[in-house]
Amino acid sequence: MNTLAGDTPRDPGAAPGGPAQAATPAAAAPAPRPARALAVIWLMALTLLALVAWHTAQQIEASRGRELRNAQRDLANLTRVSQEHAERTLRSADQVLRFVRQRYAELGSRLDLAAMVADGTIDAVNFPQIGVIDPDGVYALANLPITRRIDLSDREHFRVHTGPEDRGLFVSAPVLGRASGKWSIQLTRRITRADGGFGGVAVLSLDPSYFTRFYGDLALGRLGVAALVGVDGIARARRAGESEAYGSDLRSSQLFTRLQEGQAEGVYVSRSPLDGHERLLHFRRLERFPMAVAVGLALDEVLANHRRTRQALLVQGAMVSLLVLALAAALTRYVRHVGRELERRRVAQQQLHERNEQINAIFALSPDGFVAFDASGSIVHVNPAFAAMSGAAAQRLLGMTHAAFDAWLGSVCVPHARWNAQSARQALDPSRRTQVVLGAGLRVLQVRARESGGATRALVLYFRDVTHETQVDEMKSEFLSTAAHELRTPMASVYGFAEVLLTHEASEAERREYATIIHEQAGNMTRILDELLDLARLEARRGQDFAPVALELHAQVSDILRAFRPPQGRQAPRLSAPQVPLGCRADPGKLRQALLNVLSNAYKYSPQGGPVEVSLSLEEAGGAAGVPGAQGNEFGQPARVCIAVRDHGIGMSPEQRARVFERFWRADSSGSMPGTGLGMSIVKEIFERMGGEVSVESAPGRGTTVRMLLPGVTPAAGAAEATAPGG
Amino acid sequence: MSAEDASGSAPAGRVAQVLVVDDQPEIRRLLSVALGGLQVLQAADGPAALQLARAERPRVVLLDVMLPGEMDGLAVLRALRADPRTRHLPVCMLTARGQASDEQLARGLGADGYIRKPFSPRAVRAWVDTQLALAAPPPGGGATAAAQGTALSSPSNAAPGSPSGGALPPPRGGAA
Repeated sequence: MNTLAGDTPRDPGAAPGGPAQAATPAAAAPAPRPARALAVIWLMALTLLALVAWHTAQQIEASRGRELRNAQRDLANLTRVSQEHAERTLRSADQVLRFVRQRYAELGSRLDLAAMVADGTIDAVNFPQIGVIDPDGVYALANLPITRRIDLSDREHFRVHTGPEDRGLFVSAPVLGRASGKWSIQLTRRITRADGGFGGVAVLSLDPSYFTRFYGDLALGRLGVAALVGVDGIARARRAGESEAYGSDLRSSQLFTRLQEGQAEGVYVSRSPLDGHERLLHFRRLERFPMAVAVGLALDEVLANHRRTRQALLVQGAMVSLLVLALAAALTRYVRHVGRELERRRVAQQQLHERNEQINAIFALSPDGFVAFDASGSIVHVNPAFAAMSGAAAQRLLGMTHAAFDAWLGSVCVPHARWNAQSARQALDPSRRTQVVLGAGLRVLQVRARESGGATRALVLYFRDVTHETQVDEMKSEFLSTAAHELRTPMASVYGFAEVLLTHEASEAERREYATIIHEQAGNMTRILDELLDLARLEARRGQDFAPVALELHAQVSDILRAFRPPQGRQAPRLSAPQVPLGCRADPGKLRQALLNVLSNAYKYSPQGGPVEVSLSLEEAGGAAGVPGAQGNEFGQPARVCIAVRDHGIGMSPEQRARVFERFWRADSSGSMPGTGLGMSIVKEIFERMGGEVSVESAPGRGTTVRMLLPGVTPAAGAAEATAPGG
Repeated sequence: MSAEDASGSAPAGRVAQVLVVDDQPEIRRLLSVALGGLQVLQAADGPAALQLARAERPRVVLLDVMLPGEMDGLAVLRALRADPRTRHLPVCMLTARGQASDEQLARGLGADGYIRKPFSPRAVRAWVDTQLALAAPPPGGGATAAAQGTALSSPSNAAPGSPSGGALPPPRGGAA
């Protein structure tokens, strides 16, 4: 049983659980880090979102730009067309005016404008009213009949020409015609007489709706605008959507400012001061006239398509973003789930690992042997205890198959208790006792087996070293049969002589003799029974019935020796003691019992005779023995007193001496020495209960010395109870 | 040998000798009382028993198993069976050991009887008488019949498994 920790190597290189561990599970996996994966996922998701937003904005901007460019191109074309239209119209009107002026200069009031219109000289379709205003400002001639005197001297288109020089064609702001009663633009030219004096003004009325109708054909949308504007800031004709207006004052507009700055053409966005709509406007100045045309498209209409596109793009971007977010969220959930799962597995693995460690530690520390087989039937674990009890290196057994193990274990067993192929199966049944005896050291192993469903340890064999128990069992049954023998021997005399008394005729002397023998032998039986009971009581009471007192050893031992009756023909024991009181603490009755036992042994085992000597002495703890008057050194350590009983008998071998205190063991096993094998056990038990100890020195053929030590007491205490040494 | 044996037991008028071997004086005394009328030789240990058996030629030996010293009762039995002069002596073992295996061992070594302690002195006497009657020439039918009857009633006496027990009487009887 010396296979415990001392035999277990503890060097750090060894696998945990002892050297016989076949496969150590890998160290626990490092903890997973889902946070890192999540950061990557969300970084990518945010990047994607930014990209989507940027792309959507880009698309929207591109769409807006495209729409604006298209509108500008359209506007450029429209203004060019409008410019040409206005230019052509005004040029035609100017030609008519100049023709009229020239004819008027030739013919004067005879000029028949109505006839000229009628014969087609003058195009009256576009210019319905042509006339001449005399220098006094009175409407003098006209293609339409003048029914009343119309004074136009206050009109601007007349007054601009009253100056000395020709100011060219004048295009008036639309006015409500006094002659026609309709809105008209008056185009006038100065009539200069031959002498250079002012000869009146040729006037041509132009219907502004001529322009606005044209603008209406341009399809500018519901809120589109087109206008013919003078550089004076007054719109000659303007069409905004379906509404037409004449003479609007546009001097607060950006167009006026730009014209004032001399720009010939331009594009700009502005909010109309007239109707409040924001428009993209293109203007172009007429080449020959102080006028400009402007065409505008409402931004709302221009960008209508763009807004639809933008809507679609935004929806699309939002959906893509949502998709990205959903994907990221799903990935997050998945990563977290995987992380938790990994953590669970790691913890489970850790727990498994720790449990394995514990099991291995238990296996390694167990004084009982374990051999574990895996599901395939080969050895995966052998603990140090099994290696120690079987004497085989654990490494040699690892990996061995079941059959090989059976063969090996069978080969190291003694023949009558051999391990075989059926043993393991038999050991599975706990009701059966499976034992093998190893050849080396005759160790008795009790075997149990246990099957489990596990793959790593499918079958575990358990070996318990019951050598000691077996020996104790054997000693007990040996003791019982010895005790029975010891009782049967006197019983034979008692029974036999009793029968003789009953059946034989005998003299009175013979009858007395027989009865005496019966009496003596019954006494022997009683002695044996007493000894058995003594030991049983000592074991059961564990010293509770001891009453140690301080006593003087010399006097006590003398009393005991006086009462001792040595065997027939042997001399009484000789006592020697120092001339000092020997104070000690002991239970007098138990001391007597023990000493008588030792004396009895001394005589029993010196059958050839020789004196039995009893010597008392003082054992100084750590000091010189036998110094008079000193019981206890200066350290207050109490001295001990010693009783030595020496015989000159057969003695014992070292092996016998080593077993002398074992219960039921007897130096002579032949049975020729009477006794129960309990005497020295009782002695040892008694002295140890009294705080002392017992040792034996012996050599074969030279006798035995039994030394019994007892705790000493101070001289005063010892002397108080001591009787004077002597005897 | 058998001639010498026969000559040794020739004085028919002499009282038959029984050797009793036991280390305990009380048992020796008990047996001599039980064997009253016969001449009882006593020995306390193995060597003394062998010496007496060879010198005095007893007719029957009662032998204790547990003897002091190197030589126990079984060793004495072995020595008796090994010596041609004592090979045919009827021997009954007396023992305080009770196990059946001990009896088998003793019978295997050639013991004719096996009696456990404590024993009935009358049973021992009956066994001894039977052995003497089997060995002696029948001087009168009545005595032999009585001895036979007593022998049959004693379980310790019958030794069917013993080769020596079954083989001994005819040659001895033939010699006498």
